[in-house]
Amino acid sequence: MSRAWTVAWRDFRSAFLQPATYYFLAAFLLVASFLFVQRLVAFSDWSSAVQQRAEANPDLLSRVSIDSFVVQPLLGWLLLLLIVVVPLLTMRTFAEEQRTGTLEMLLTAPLSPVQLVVGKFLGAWLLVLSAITLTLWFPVVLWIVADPDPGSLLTGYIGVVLGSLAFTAIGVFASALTDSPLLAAFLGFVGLVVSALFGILGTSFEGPGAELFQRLSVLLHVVPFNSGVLDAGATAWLVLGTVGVIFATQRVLESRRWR
Amino acid sequence: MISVQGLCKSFGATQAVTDLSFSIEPGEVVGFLGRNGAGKTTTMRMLTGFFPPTAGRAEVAGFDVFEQPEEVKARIGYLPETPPLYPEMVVASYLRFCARLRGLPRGEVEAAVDRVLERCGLEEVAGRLAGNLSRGYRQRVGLAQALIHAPEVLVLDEPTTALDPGQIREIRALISDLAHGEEGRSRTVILSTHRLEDVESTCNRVVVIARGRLVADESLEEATKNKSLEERFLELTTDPDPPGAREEGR
Repeated sequence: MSRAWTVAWRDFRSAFLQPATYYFLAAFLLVASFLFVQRLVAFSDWSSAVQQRAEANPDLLSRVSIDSFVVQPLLGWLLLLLIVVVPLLTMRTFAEEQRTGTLEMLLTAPLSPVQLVVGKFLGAWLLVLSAITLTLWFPVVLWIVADPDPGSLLTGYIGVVLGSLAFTAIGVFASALTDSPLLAAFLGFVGLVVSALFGILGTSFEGPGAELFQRLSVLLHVVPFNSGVLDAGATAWLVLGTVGVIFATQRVLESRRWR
Repeated sequence: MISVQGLCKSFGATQAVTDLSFSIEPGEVVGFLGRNGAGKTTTMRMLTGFFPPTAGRAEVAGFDVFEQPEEVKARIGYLPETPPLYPEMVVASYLRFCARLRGLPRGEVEAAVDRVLERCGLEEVAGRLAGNLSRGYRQRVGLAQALIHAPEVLVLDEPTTALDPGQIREIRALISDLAHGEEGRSRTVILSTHRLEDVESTCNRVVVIARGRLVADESLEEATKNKSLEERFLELTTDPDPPGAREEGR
Protein backbone atom coordinates (compact mmCIF):
# COMPACT_ATOMS: atom_id res chain seq x y z
CA MET A 1 0.00 0.00 0.00
CA SER A 2 3.01 2.29 0.06
CA ARG A 3 2.35 3.09 -3.61
CA ALA A 4 -1.22 4.09 -2.78
CA TRP A 5 0.30 6.42 -0.20
CA THR A 6 2.68 7.82 -2.86
CA VAL A 7 -0.35 8.74 -4.98
CA ALA A 8 -2.22 10.16 -1.97
CA TRP A 9 0.67 12.31 -0.82
CA ARG A 10 1.31 13.71 -4.31
CA ASP A 11 -2.35 14.63 -4.72
CA PHE A 12 -2.48 16.25 -1.31
CA ARG A 13 0.66 18.30 -1.86
CA SER A 14 -0.31 19.22 -5.40
CA ALA A 15 -3.64 20.56 -4.16
CA PHE A 16 -1.73 23.22 -2.24
CA LEU A 17 0.06 24.26 -5.42
CA GLN A 18 -3.32 25.23 -6.90
CA PRO A 19 -4.62 28.70 -6.04
CA ALA A 20 -8.20 27.40 -6.28
CA THR A 21 -7.65 25.14 -3.24
CA TYR A 22 -6.93 28.19 -1.09
CA TYR A 23 -10.06 29.97 -2.33
CA PHE A 24 -12.25 26.97 -1.53
CA LEU A 25 -10.72 26.49 1.93
CA ALA A 26 -10.92 30.21 2.70
CA ALA A 27 -14.57 30.42 1.61
CA PHE A 28 -15.42 27.37 3.71
CA LEU A 29 -13.68 28.78 6.78
CA LEU A 30 -15.24 32.21 6.29
CA VAL A 31 -18.83 30.96 6.04
CA ALA A 32 -18.38 28.45 8.87
CA SER A 33 -16.80 31.12 11.11
CA PHE A 34 -19.59 33.55 10.32
CA LEU A 35 -22.20 30.97 11.32
CA PHE A 36 -20.26 30.14 14.49
CA VAL A 37 -19.84 33.75 15.60
CA GLN A 38 -23.44 34.56 14.76
CA ARG A 39 -24.62 31.58 16.80
CA LEU A 40 -22.33 32.48 19.69
CA VAL A 41 -23.58 36.07 19.81
CA ALA A 42 -27.19 34.89 19.69
CA PHE A 43 -26.42 32.53 22.55
CA SER A 44 -24.87 35.20 24.71
CA ASP A 45 -27.89 37.50 24.17
CA TRP A 46 -30.22 34.66 25.00
CA SER A 47 -28.36 33.45 28.06
CA SER A 48 -28.07 36.93 29.59
CA ALA A 49 -31.82 37.31 29.10
CA VAL A 50 -32.39 33.94 30.75
CA GLN A 51 -29.98 34.63 33.58
CA GLN A 52 -31.85 37.78 34.55
CA ARG A 53 -34.97 35.72 34.99
CA ALA A 54 -33.57 32.52 36.45
CA GLU A 55 -30.92 33.70 38.88
CA ALA A 56 -31.59 30.68 41.04
CA ASN A 57 -29.78 28.17 38.81
CA PRO A 58 -27.75 29.86 36.05
CA ASP A 59 -25.02 27.22 35.92
CA LEU A 60 -27.35 24.43 34.88
CA LEU A 61 -29.05 26.61 32.31
CA SER A 62 -25.85 27.60 30.53
CA ARG A 63 -24.53 24.06 30.54
CA VAL A 64 -27.60 22.75 28.80
CA SER A 65 -27.90 25.54 26.33
CA ILE A 66 -24.38 25.98 24.93
CA ASP A 67 -24.50 22.44 23.58
CA SER A 68 -27.97 22.58 22.07
CA PHE A 69 -27.77 26.26 21.09
CA VAL A 70 -24.28 26.43 19.54
CA VAL A 71 -22.47 23.10 19.27
CA GLN A 72 -25.16 20.93 17.71
CA PRO A 73 -26.41 23.40 15.09
CA LEU A 74 -22.81 24.31 14.26
CA LEU A 75 -21.77 20.74 13.49
CA GLY A 76 -24.94 20.36 11.41
CA TRP A 77 -23.96 23.46 9.47
CA LEU A 78 -20.44 22.13 8.97
CA LEU A 79 -21.86 19.02 7.28
CA LEU A 80 -24.09 21.11 5.02
CA LEU A 81 -21.10 23.28 4.07
CA LEU A 82 -19.08 20.15 3.32
CA ILE A 83 -21.76 19.17 0.79
CA VAL A 84 -20.69 22.24 -1.19
CA VAL A 85 -16.95 22.16 -0.50
CA VAL A 86 -16.14 18.45 -0.79
CA PRO A 87 -17.06 18.20 -4.51
CA LEU A 88 -14.81 21.21 -5.18
CA LEU A 89 -11.92 19.58 -3.33
CA THR A 90 -12.40 16.17 -4.99
CA MET A 91 -13.29 17.25 -8.53
CA ARG A 92 -9.76 17.01 -9.90
CA THR A 93 -8.83 13.58 -8.51
CA PHE A 94 -9.60 11.58 -11.64
CA ALA A 95 -11.22 14.06 -14.04
CA GLU A 96 -8.10 16.23 -14.32
CA GLU A 97 -5.84 13.22 -14.83
CA GLN A 98 -8.10 11.85 -17.55
CA ARG A 99 -8.13 15.24 -19.24
CA THR A 100 -4.37 15.79 -19.23
CA GLY A 101 -3.39 12.17 -19.91
CA THR A 102 -1.48 11.54 -16.68
CA LEU A 103 -3.99 8.79 -15.87
CA GLU A 104 -2.43 6.75 -18.67
CA MET A 105 0.90 6.97 -16.85
CA LEU A 106 -0.70 5.95 -13.52
CA LEU A 107 -2.53 3.02 -15.08
CA THR A 108 0.59 1.72 -16.81
CA ALA A 109 2.66 2.02 -13.62
CA PRO A 110 3.02 -1.14 -11.55
CA LEU A 111 0.25 -0.47 -9.07
CA SER A 112 -3.11 -2.20 -9.01
CA PRO A 113 -6.31 -0.27 -9.83
CA VAL A 114 -7.40 -0.71 -6.21
CA GLN A 115 -4.15 0.85 -4.96
CA LEU A 116 -4.68 3.75 -7.34
CA VAL A 117 -8.27 4.40 -6.26
CA VAL A 118 -7.43 4.06 -2.57
CA GLY A 119 -4.52 6.47 -3.04
CA LYS A 120 -6.73 8.98 -4.84
CA PHE A 121 -9.37 8.70 -2.13
CA LEU A 122 -6.85 9.14 0.70
CA GLY A 123 -5.29 12.20 -0.93
CA ALA A 124 -8.68 13.83 -1.35
CA TRP A 125 -9.74 12.91 2.17
CA LEU A 126 -6.59 14.46 3.67
CA LEU A 127 -7.57 17.66 1.90
CA VAL A 128 -11.13 17.50 3.27
CA LEU A 129 -9.71 16.77 6.74
CA SER A 130 -7.56 19.87 6.53
CA ALA A 131 -10.71 21.88 5.78
CA ILE A 132 -12.33 20.41 8.91
CA THR A 133 -9.15 21.10 10.90
CA LEU A 134 -9.49 24.80 10.07
CA THR A 135 -12.68 24.89 12.15
CA LEU A 136 -10.98 23.60 15.30
CA TRP A 137 -10.70 27.12 16.62
CA PHE A 138 -14.46 26.94 17.36
CA PRO A 139 -14.11 24.45 20.23
CA VAL A 140 -11.13 26.40 21.57
CA VAL A 141 -13.20 29.58 21.74
CA LEU A 142 -16.15 27.67 23.21
CA TRP A 143 -13.91 26.43 25.97
CA ILE A 144 -12.68 29.89 26.77
CA VAL A 145 -16.03 31.69 26.79
CA ALA A 146 -18.33 28.93 28.00
CA ASP A 147 -18.43 25.48 29.45
CA PRO A 148 -19.41 23.05 26.69
CA ASP A 149 -19.74 19.31 27.21
CA PRO A 150 -16.40 17.93 25.92
CA GLY A 151 -17.93 14.51 25.22
CA SER A 152 -20.61 15.66 22.82
CA LEU A 153 -18.19 18.09 21.16
CA LEU A 154 -15.79 15.20 20.55
CA THR A 155 -18.41 12.76 19.26
CA GLY A 156 -19.83 15.57 17.13
CA TYR A 157 -16.47 16.07 15.43
CA ILE A 158 -16.04 12.30 15.06
CA GLY A 159 -19.41 12.31 13.29
CA VAL A 160 -18.29 15.09 10.95
CA VAL A 161 -15.06 13.22 10.15
CA LEU A 162 -16.95 9.97 9.48
CA GLY A 163 -19.47 11.85 7.33
CA SER A 164 -16.58 13.41 5.40
CA LEU A 165 -15.35 9.89 4.55
CA ALA A 166 -18.60 9.09 2.75
CA PHE A 167 -18.78 12.55 1.16
CA THR A 168 -15.22 12.29 -0.16
CA ALA A 169 -15.87 8.82 -1.60
CA ILE A 170 -18.92 10.17 -3.47
CA GLY A 171 -16.93 13.16 -4.75
CA VAL A 172 -14.09 10.95 -5.99
CA PHE A 173 -16.60 8.61 -7.61
CA ALA A 174 -18.12 11.57 -9.50
CA SER A 175 -14.63 12.60 -10.62
CA ALA A 176 -14.05 9.17 -12.17
CA LEU A 177 -17.19 9.54 -14.30
CA THR A 178 -15.95 12.37 -16.48
CA ASP A 179 -12.86 14.12 -17.76
CA SER A 180 -14.14 17.57 -16.90
CA PRO A 181 -13.38 18.69 -13.33
CA LEU A 182 -16.24 21.20 -13.45
CA LEU A 183 -18.76 18.52 -14.40
CA ALA A 184 -17.25 16.26 -11.72
CA ALA A 185 -17.85 18.95 -9.09
CA PHE A 186 -21.43 19.36 -10.26
CA LEU A 187 -22.10 15.61 -10.29
CA GLY A 188 -20.52 15.23 -6.85
CA PHE A 189 -22.63 18.09 -5.52
CA VAL A 190 -25.80 16.53 -6.96
CA GLY A 191 -24.85 13.18 -5.43
CA LEU A 192 -24.34 14.71 -1.99
CA VAL A 193 -27.53 16.79 -2.18
CA VAL A 194 -29.47 13.67 -3.16
CA SER A 195 -27.97 11.82 -0.20
CA ALA A 196 -29.06 14.72 2.05
CA LEU A 197 -32.53 14.75 0.48
CA PHE A 198 -32.89 11.05 1.26
CA GLY A 199 -32.72 11.99 4.92
CA ILE A 200 -35.29 14.80 4.62
CA LEU A 201 -37.59 12.60 2.57
CA GLY A 202 -37.18 9.69 4.95
CA THR A 203 -38.19 11.73 8.00
CA SER A 204 -41.00 13.62 6.27
CA PHE A 205 -43.40 10.77 5.58
CA GLU A 206 -44.36 7.43 7.02
CA GLY A 207 -44.54 4.16 5.17
CA PRO A 208 -42.41 1.32 3.88
CA GLY A 209 -40.17 3.56 1.75
CA ALA A 210 -39.38 5.95 4.56
CA GLU A 211 -37.06 3.57 6.33
CA LEU A 212 -35.16 2.82 3.13
CA PHE A 213 -34.59 6.52 2.49
CA GLN A 214 -33.40 6.99 6.05
CA ARG A 215 -30.98 4.10 5.72
CA LEU A 216 -29.47 5.55 2.56
CA SER A 217 -28.89 9.00 4.03
CA VAL A 218 -25.35 9.93 5.01
CA LEU A 219 -26.61 12.84 7.11
CA LEU A 220 -29.00 10.80 9.22
CA HIS A 221 -26.16 8.47 10.14
CA VAL A 222 -24.16 11.40 11.45
CA VAL A 223 -27.04 12.73 13.59
CA PRO A 224 -26.52 10.38 16.59
CA PHE A 225 -22.90 11.54 16.94
CA ASN A 226 -24.12 15.09 17.14
CA SER A 227 -26.17 14.34 20.23
CA GLY A 228 -23.22 12.84 22.06
CA VAL A 229 -23.61 9.17 21.15
CA LEU A 230 -20.82 7.06 19.65
CA ASP A 231 -23.04 4.91 17.44
CA ALA A 232 -21.30 1.68 16.38
CA GLY A 233 -23.97 0.82 13.81
CA ALA A 234 -23.78 4.24 12.16
CA THR A 235 -19.96 4.07 12.18
CA ALA A 236 -20.05 0.70 10.47
CA TRP A 237 -22.58 1.97 7.91
CA LEU A 238 -20.47 5.03 7.07
CA VAL A 239 -17.22 3.09 6.79
CA LEU A 240 -18.71 0.24 4.77
CA GLY A 241 -20.57 2.71 2.56
CA THR A 242 -17.26 4.49 1.89
CA VAL A 243 -15.55 1.21 1.01
CA GLY A 244 -18.46 0.33 -1.29
CA VAL A 245 -18.24 3.63 -3.15
CA ILE A 246 -14.44 3.27 -3.48
CA PHE A 247 -14.99 -0.16 -5.00
CA ALA A 248 -17.61 1.26 -7.39
CA THR A 249 -15.12 3.97 -8.40
CA GLN A 250 -12.63 1.29 -9.36
CA ARG A 251 -15.29 -0.43 -11.51
CA VAL A 252 -16.15 2.83 -13.26
CA LEU A 253 -12.51 3.52 -13.98
CA GLU A 254 -12.06 0.03 -15.35
CA SER A 255 -15.10 0.22 -17.61
CA ARG A 256 -14.12 3.64 -18.96
CA ARG A 257 -10.70 2.30 -19.83
CA TRP A 258 -11.88 -0.90 -21.46
CA ARG A 259 -14.38 0.73 -23.72
CA MET B 1 11.61 -9.69 -25.57
CA ILE B 2 8.21 -8.74 -26.96
CA SER B 3 5.94 -11.32 -28.50
CA VAL B 4 2.48 -10.56 -29.86
CA GLN B 5 0.18 -13.28 -31.15
CA GLY B 6 -3.16 -12.79 -32.85
CA LEU B 7 -3.85 -9.56 -31.02
CA CYS B 8 -7.30 -8.02 -31.69
CA LYS B 9 -8.97 -4.98 -30.23
CA SER B 10 -12.40 -3.66 -31.00
CA PHE B 11 -14.19 -0.67 -29.53
CA GLY B 12 -17.88 -1.44 -29.94
CA ALA B 13 -18.36 -2.11 -33.64
CA THR B 14 -15.02 -0.60 -34.66
CA GLN B 15 -12.19 -3.04 -35.17
CA ALA B 16 -9.05 -1.09 -34.27
CA VAL B 17 -6.49 -3.92 -34.40
CA THR B 18 -7.00 -7.24 -36.20
CA ASP B 19 -4.98 -10.43 -35.74
CA LEU B 20 -1.65 -8.71 -35.15
CA SER B 21 1.40 -10.93 -34.62
CA PHE B 22 5.07 -10.00 -34.41
CA SER B 23 8.00 -10.54 -32.13
CA ILE B 24 10.91 -8.35 -31.15
CA GLU B 25 14.29 -9.60 -29.98
CA PRO B 26 16.19 -8.09 -27.06
CA GLY B 27 18.18 -5.03 -28.07
CA GLU B 28 16.24 -4.31 -31.23
CA VAL B 29 15.06 -0.80 -31.97
CA VAL B 30 11.83 -1.19 -33.89
CA GLY B 31 9.91 1.47 -35.75
CA PHE B 32 6.19 0.86 -35.52
CA LEU B 33 4.85 2.54 -38.62
CA GLY B 34 1.38 3.33 -39.79
CA ARG B 35 -0.77 6.19 -40.88
CA ASN B 36 -2.86 8.11 -38.40
CA GLY B 37 -5.61 5.87 -37.07
CA ALA B 38 -3.89 2.65 -38.18
CA GLY B 39 -3.96 1.25 -34.63
CA LYS B 40 -0.47 2.14 -33.38
CA THR B 41 -1.56 3.73 -30.13
CA THR B 42 -4.12 0.97 -29.50
CA THR B 43 -1.41 -1.69 -29.90
CA MET B 44 0.96 0.16 -27.60
CA ARG B 45 -1.72 0.58 -24.97
CA MET B 46 -2.30 -3.17 -25.02
CA LEU B 47 1.43 -3.84 -24.71
CA THR B 48 1.75 -1.53 -21.73
CA GLY B 49 -1.28 -3.01 -19.98
CA PHE B 50 -3.43 0.11 -20.24
CA PHE B 51 -6.30 -1.96 -21.58
CA PRO B 52 -6.72 -5.65 -22.45
CA PRO B 53 -7.11 -6.98 -25.99
CA THR B 54 -10.39 -8.38 -27.26
CA ALA B 55 -8.52 -11.50 -28.37
CA GLY B 56 -4.95 -12.76 -28.65
CA ARG B 57 -2.03 -12.49 -26.28
CA ALA B 58 1.07 -10.43 -25.71
CA GLU B 59 4.21 -11.20 -23.75
CA VAL B 60 6.93 -8.89 -22.55
CA ALA B 61 10.15 -10.36 -21.14
CA GLY B 62 8.42 -13.71 -20.81
CA PHE B 63 5.46 -12.42 -18.80
CA ASP B 64 1.91 -12.34 -20.09
CA VAL B 65 0.75 -8.74 -20.19
CA PHE B 66 -2.73 -9.55 -18.87
CA GLU B 67 -2.01 -12.34 -16.45
CA GLN B 68 1.05 -10.79 -14.80
CA PRO B 69 0.54 -7.09 -15.49
CA GLU B 70 2.67 -5.87 -12.60
CA GLU B 71 5.70 -7.91 -13.72
CA VAL B 72 5.33 -6.45 -17.20
CA LYS B 73 4.68 -2.90 -16.04
CA ALA B 74 7.80 -3.04 -13.88
CA ARG B 75 9.89 -3.82 -16.99
CA ILE B 76 8.37 -1.33 -19.42
CA GLY B 77 8.97 2.37 -19.66
CA TYR B 78 6.15 4.04 -21.54
CA LEU B 79 5.90 7.48 -23.08
CA PRO B 80 2.30 8.10 -24.17
CA GLU B 81 1.52 10.39 -27.09
CA THR B 82 1.01 13.38 -24.79
CA PRO B 83 3.84 13.37 -22.25
CA PRO B 84 2.24 12.84 -18.83
CA LEU B 85 3.07 15.88 -16.71
CA TYR B 86 1.58 17.69 -13.75
CA PRO B 87 1.99 21.35 -14.73
CA GLU B 88 2.02 22.52 -11.10
CA MET B 89 4.96 20.28 -10.17
CA VAL B 90 8.66 20.96 -10.37
CA VAL B 91 10.47 18.58 -12.77
CA ALA B 92 12.70 16.97 -10.12
CA SER B 93 9.88 16.34 -7.65
CA TYR B 94 7.72 14.91 -10.43
CA LEU B 95 10.49 12.44 -11.27
CA ARG B 96 10.85 11.60 -7.58
CA PHE B 97 7.13 10.82 -7.52
CA CYS B 98 7.50 8.58 -10.60
CA ALA B 99 10.40 6.75 -8.96
CA ARG B 100 8.37 6.01 -5.82
CA LEU B 101 5.36 5.02 -7.90
CA ARG B 102 7.60 2.53 -9.66
CA GLY B 103 8.54 1.12 -6.29
CA LEU B 104 12.18 2.20 -6.17
CA PRO B 105 13.61 1.85 -2.65
CA ARG B 106 13.77 5.15 -0.77
CA GLY B 107 17.57 5.21 -0.84
CA GLU B 108 17.77 4.84 -4.61
CA VAL B 109 15.27 7.52 -5.58
CA GLU B 110 17.67 10.48 -5.63
CA ALA B 111 20.31 8.60 -7.62
CA ALA B 112 17.69 7.50 -10.16
CA VAL B 113 16.38 11.05 -10.54
CA ASP B 114 19.89 12.42 -11.03
CA ARG B 115 20.63 9.71 -13.59
CA VAL B 116 17.58 10.45 -15.79
CA LEU B 117 18.00 14.21 -15.43
CA GLU B 118 21.51 13.84 -16.77
CA ARG B 119 20.61 11.34 -19.48
CA CYS B 120 17.74 13.38 -20.83
CA GLY B 121 19.59 16.70 -20.60
CA LEU B 122 17.24 18.11 -17.97
CA GLU B 123 19.69 19.28 -15.31
CA GLU B 124 19.11 22.94 -16.14
CA VAL B 125 15.32 22.72 -15.82
CA ALA B 126 15.20 20.36 -12.82
CA GLY B 127 13.90 23.16 -10.61
CA ARG B 128 11.32 24.53 -13.04
CA LEU B 129 7.57 23.94 -13.17
CA ALA B 130 6.67 21.32 -15.75
CA GLY B 131 3.84 23.55 -16.98
CA ASN B 132 6.31 26.25 -18.05
CA LEU B 133 8.51 24.04 -20.22
CA SER B 134 8.70 24.05 -24.01
CA ARG B 135 7.33 21.06 -25.91
CA GLY B 136 10.80 19.71 -26.51
CA TYR B 137 11.58 19.75 -22.80
CA ARG B 138 8.19 18.27 -21.93
CA GLN B 139 9.03 15.40 -24.24
CA ARG B 140 12.34 14.98 -22.43
CA VAL B 141 10.58 14.90 -19.07
CA GLY B 142 8.22 12.30 -20.55
CA LEU B 143 11.23 10.23 -21.59
CA ALA B 144 12.81 10.71 -18.18
CA GLN B 145 9.72 9.37 -16.36
CA ALA B 146 9.72 6.36 -18.71
CA LEU B 147 13.37 5.68 -17.85
CA ILE B 148 13.31 6.25 -14.10
CA HIS B 149 13.26 2.53 -13.21
CA ALA B 150 15.86 1.58 -15.86
CA PRO B 151 13.38 -0.56 -17.83
CA GLU B 152 14.41 -3.30 -20.23
CA VAL B 153 11.79 -2.21 -22.74
CA LEU B 154 10.98 1.30 -23.83
CA VAL B 155 7.65 1.98 -25.59
CA LEU B 156 7.43 5.40 -27.19
CA ASP B 157 4.23 6.63 -28.81
CA GLU B 158 4.99 9.23 -31.49
CA PRO B 159 7.88 10.79 -29.60
CA THR B 160 8.62 13.42 -32.25
CA THR B 161 5.10 14.63 -33.05
CA ALA B 162 4.49 18.34 -32.46
CA LEU B 163 8.18 19.20 -32.14
CA ASP B 164 10.08 21.69 -34.26
CA PRO B 165 12.91 20.44 -36.52
CA GLY B 166 15.62 21.28 -33.99
CA GLN B 167 13.78 19.51 -31.19
CA ILE B 168 13.10 16.51 -33.44
CA ARG B 169 16.80 16.14 -34.09
CA GLU B 170 17.61 16.34 -30.39
CA ILE B 171 14.94 13.83 -29.38
CA ARG B 172 16.06 11.41 -32.11
CA ALA B 173 19.63 11.60 -30.90
CA LEU B 174 18.39 11.02 -27.38
CA ILE B 175 16.37 7.95 -28.40
CA SER B 176 19.36 6.47 -30.24
CA ASP B 177 21.37 7.01 -27.10
CA LEU B 178 18.69 5.46 -24.88
CA ALA B 179 18.74 2.28 -26.93
CA HIS B 180 21.94 1.61 -25.04
CA GLY B 181 20.75 0.67 -21.58
CA GLU B 182 22.34 1.40 -18.23
CA GLU B 183 25.61 -0.29 -17.32
CA GLY B 184 26.17 -1.77 -20.75
CA ARG B 185 22.86 -3.64 -20.86
CA SER B 186 20.95 -3.52 -24.11
CA ARG B 187 17.48 -2.07 -24.23
CA THR B 188 14.62 -2.96 -26.51
CA VAL B 189 12.84 0.03 -27.97
CA ILE B 190 9.59 0.15 -29.89
CA LEU B 191 8.62 3.56 -31.19
CA SER B 192 5.56 4.44 -33.18
CA THR B 193 5.69 7.21 -35.71
CA HIS B 194 4.48 8.36 -39.06
CA ARG B 195 7.69 10.26 -39.63
CA LEU B 196 9.86 8.00 -41.73
CA GLU B 197 13.04 9.92 -40.92
CA ASP B 198 12.58 8.88 -37.27
CA VAL B 199 12.83 5.28 -38.38
CA GLU B 200 15.76 5.82 -40.72
CA SER B 201 17.79 7.61 -38.08
CA THR B 202 17.04 5.44 -35.04
CA CYS B 203 15.64 1.99 -35.91
CA ASN B 204 17.04 -1.21 -37.31
CA ARG B 205 13.70 -2.81 -38.03
CA VAL B 206 10.25 -1.75 -39.17
CA VAL B 207 6.82 -3.15 -38.40
CA VAL B 208 4.15 -1.58 -40.57
CA ILE B 209 0.43 -1.74 -39.89
CA ALA B 210 -2.47 -0.45 -41.95
CA ARG B 211 -6.10 -0.41 -40.82
CA GLY B 212 -5.19 -2.49 -37.79
CA ARG B 213 -3.45 -5.28 -39.73
CA LEU B 214 0.21 -6.15 -40.09
CA VAL B 215 1.42 -5.37 -43.63
CA ALA B 216 5.18 -5.65 -43.23
CA ASP B 217 7.75 -6.81 -40.69
CA GLU B 218 11.27 -6.45 -42.06
CA SER B 219 14.71 -5.05 -41.38
CA LEU B 220 15.45 -1.50 -42.42
CA GLU B 221 17.81 -2.80 -45.15
CA GLU B 222 15.10 -4.98 -46.63
CA ALA B 223 12.58 -2.19 -46.54
CA THR B 224 14.91 0.20 -48.31
CA LYS B 225 16.55 -2.27 -50.72
CA ASN B 226 15.06 -1.10 -54.01
CA LYS B 227 13.29 2.08 -53.09
CA SER B 228 13.14 4.77 -50.49
CA LEU B 229 11.40 4.03 -47.21
CA GLU B 230 8.77 6.58 -48.16
CA GLU B 231 7.88 4.72 -51.36
CA ARG B 232 7.77 1.43 -49.51
CA PHE B 233 5.61 2.91 -46.74
CA LEU B 234 3.10 4.41 -49.15
CA GLU B 235 2.98 1.20 -51.16
CA LEU B 236 2.18 -0.74 -47.99
CA THR B 237 -0.27 1.60 -46.36
CA THR B 238 -2.23 3.05 -49.24
CA ASP B 239 -5.72 1.66 -49.49
CA PRO B 240 -5.85 -0.53 -52.60
CA ASP B 241 -9.61 -0.23 -52.96
CA PRO B 242 -10.14 3.24 -54.38
CA PRO B 243 -8.97 3.12 -58.01
CA GLY B 244 -6.04 5.37 -58.73
CA ALA B 245 -4.80 5.30 -55.15
CA ARG B 246 -2.01 2.89 -56.01
CA GLU B 247 -0.74 5.00 -58.86
CA GLU B 248 -0.79 7.96 -56.55
CA GLY B 249 1.15 5.93 -54.03
CA ARG B 250 3.90 5.10 -56.46
